[in-house]
Amino acid sequence: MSHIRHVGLSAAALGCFAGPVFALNPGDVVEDFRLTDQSGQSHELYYLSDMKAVVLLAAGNGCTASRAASRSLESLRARYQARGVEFLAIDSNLKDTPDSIAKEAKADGVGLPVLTDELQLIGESLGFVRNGEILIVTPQDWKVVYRGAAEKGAHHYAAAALDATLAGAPVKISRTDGGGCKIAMAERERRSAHAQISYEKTIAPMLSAHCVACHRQGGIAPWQMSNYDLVRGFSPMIREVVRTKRMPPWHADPHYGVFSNDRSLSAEETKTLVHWIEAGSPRGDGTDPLTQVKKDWPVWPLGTPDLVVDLPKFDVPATGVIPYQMWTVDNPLDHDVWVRAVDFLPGARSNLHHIIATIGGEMAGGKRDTDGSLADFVPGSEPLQIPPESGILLKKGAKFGFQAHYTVNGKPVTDVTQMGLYFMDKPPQYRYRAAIMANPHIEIPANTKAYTNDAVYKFDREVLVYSLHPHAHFRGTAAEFVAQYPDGREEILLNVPRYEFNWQTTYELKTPIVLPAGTAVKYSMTYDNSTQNKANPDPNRVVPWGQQTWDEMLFGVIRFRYLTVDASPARTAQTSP
Amino acid sequence: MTRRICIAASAVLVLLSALGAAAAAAPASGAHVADFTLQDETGLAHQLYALSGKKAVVIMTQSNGCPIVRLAVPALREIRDRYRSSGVEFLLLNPTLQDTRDAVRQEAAEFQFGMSVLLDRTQKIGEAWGVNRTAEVFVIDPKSWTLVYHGPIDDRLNYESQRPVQHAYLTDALDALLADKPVAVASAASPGCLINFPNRQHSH
Repeated sequence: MSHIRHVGLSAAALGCFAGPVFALNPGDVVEDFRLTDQSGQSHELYYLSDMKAVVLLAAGNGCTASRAASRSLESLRARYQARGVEFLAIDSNLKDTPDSIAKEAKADGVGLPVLTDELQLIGESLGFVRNGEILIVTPQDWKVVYRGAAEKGAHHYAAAALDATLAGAPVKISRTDGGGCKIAMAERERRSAHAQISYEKTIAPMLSAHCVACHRQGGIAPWQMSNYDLVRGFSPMIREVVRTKRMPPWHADPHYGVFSNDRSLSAEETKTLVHWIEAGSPRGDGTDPLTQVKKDWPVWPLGTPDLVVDLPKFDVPATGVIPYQMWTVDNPLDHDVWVRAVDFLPGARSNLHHIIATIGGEMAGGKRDTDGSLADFVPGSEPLQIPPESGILLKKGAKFGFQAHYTVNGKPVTDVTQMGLYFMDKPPQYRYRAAIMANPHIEIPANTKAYTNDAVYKFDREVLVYSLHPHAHFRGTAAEFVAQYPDGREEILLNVPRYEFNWQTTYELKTPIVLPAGTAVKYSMTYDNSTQNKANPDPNRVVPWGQQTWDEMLFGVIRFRYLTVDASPARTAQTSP
Repeated sequence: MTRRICIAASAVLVLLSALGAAAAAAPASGAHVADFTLQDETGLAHQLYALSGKKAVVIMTQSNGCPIVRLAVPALREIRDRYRSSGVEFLLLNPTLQDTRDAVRQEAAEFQFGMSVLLDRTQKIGEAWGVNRTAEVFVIDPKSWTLVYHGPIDDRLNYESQRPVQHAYLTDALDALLADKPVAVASAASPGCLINFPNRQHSH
């Protein structure tokens, strides 16, 4: 190598640095992030790539400077939003909650989305020190063009910066004193301590516990967390997917419901991981636990199934978008059985993205018996273990129905997946039931960023709810289940601010909840049929209901049992949209 | 000269923030590309300027295990098959610290790359070129050794999603270059896996 005298592009001389940024000044690049606002809506910075400018405000409750800046931005919003400027406030105060933020915004007549930065990771990387300060960013390069006060006396800094940016001119005054109330950020003062976070004792065990089930040899994840070097190499990417909430693949708003299959990192773990990466992913002393991760994963963690059903063979191509596969498979049993657990053994684990299995493939009037929900498979999921005293009836002669979704990974493979069923010794006290909430009348307008519709299911008996499952296709972007109790109260059972089609998660309640007779559950789905939705195959199309991914579904499932003993045959649960 | 500008820039940044660092600046179209020699995954040495007889050189960044690269390679292979007879050379560049020669050879075989992967184990080329992510394509004009396009192959791929191609950036750039016309879109935002350049801020 020594004979090479010049290896560089001369233009690269202007950018000699990489890595996380802790004080953002005009000219610096703002990295992507995703946060949820005070009303439970998710916002990703880089989604705003079609804007001319984005104004970010460091906001906090009870801060005069922040309130004044909010009001200034509110009036700027009225003038500039139609010209392609988006306005977002970010609240990094630890004491502020979505509810208290919503209350203060309402009292001040501020309609601006206020994003809650409860981990302070985004505020730290934006260099937020005082609330009331603003940043103006240009999406064509994600660079800061202005940092400081929105206005001061007769100086309308923000308006001047926006006018210049919209005119394609440089911003004359790009830095002023933002003033405002100091944000308490303990971790910002502890940067040097972050270099002491132990890879051996803290980071590797965290990754083993939360990530390695997929990021392992033969797992669905594309790369394996099999040693320190690989983790360090992917560190900036790990930080990015955590900041944008792409990984771990768990999409529920933590403010509503507690779920037993929660795949997320805790707030503390997330902060520790990101701070370790920002400290340069130090190796530190000690062994590398990731090299000792177990190599032999049990084929069937619950033991040998009572019945193994082979799904059809499927050839997955190297690349492209694959339609859902819909299969019907015979049940070989000559007698009725009660199912207590269901598991799946993927043939090509790195390609199988989800399976939704049903029983009762008898199609009546073109409709599947919707009470026949069986189980879902998603990568990293545990087997379905039905709560004690409940079971699913598998009748002889009933057929299995499968919807299988494959993802491509650059090489062709063949998959044969198996489903393992575990039976009960005797009939259970309760049937494990499914309420299907569907609205086949959706018609999603073309080139629309947010279209919401819903379906309502009313429980006529007192029920115990175990799980909630939202389903949509490429355009689905947010989902919500809201209980409307007979006494008029409403409660959010599940909020999915960023619905991710690739992860067909069933949200299993850690403590099943009782819904009194007469409770209606409203399930709503929001769709993004714009070009900003990078999964959208055709934003110019009005999208109707359809089973395939280029059409849409408004489809939700609630798994439940009646509270009182009832072993009568399941009724077909239908909803009127 | 390059070295001096970097030092000046670093002084300014250090002044503005003790810990701060800006993301690597994307190399501008028209930038001069210096010669280099790197070994590929089989141990064969490749010198850039030895390709002076070519009409264009296309180099795409790669790292093992990056889904966007794995999904981009089949598209790049197809483009290579169409443009190879026009004198366009296609190479991959792995500027990571973590991927060993054996590991890259295994990845190339498993995903049938069909293109040599240049191993930039010291990250000197990646750093100098301002590489940020995998699946970034660099199109170089060997007549002047200048960069004419930097960005993705097209706008099909994104994180965990893909959609029909609307802009075929790479083939548009190649068509223009082969016809001796200016490249209309010289850069575009490029999704891919962030590559760790831990020494970038200390390398000057």
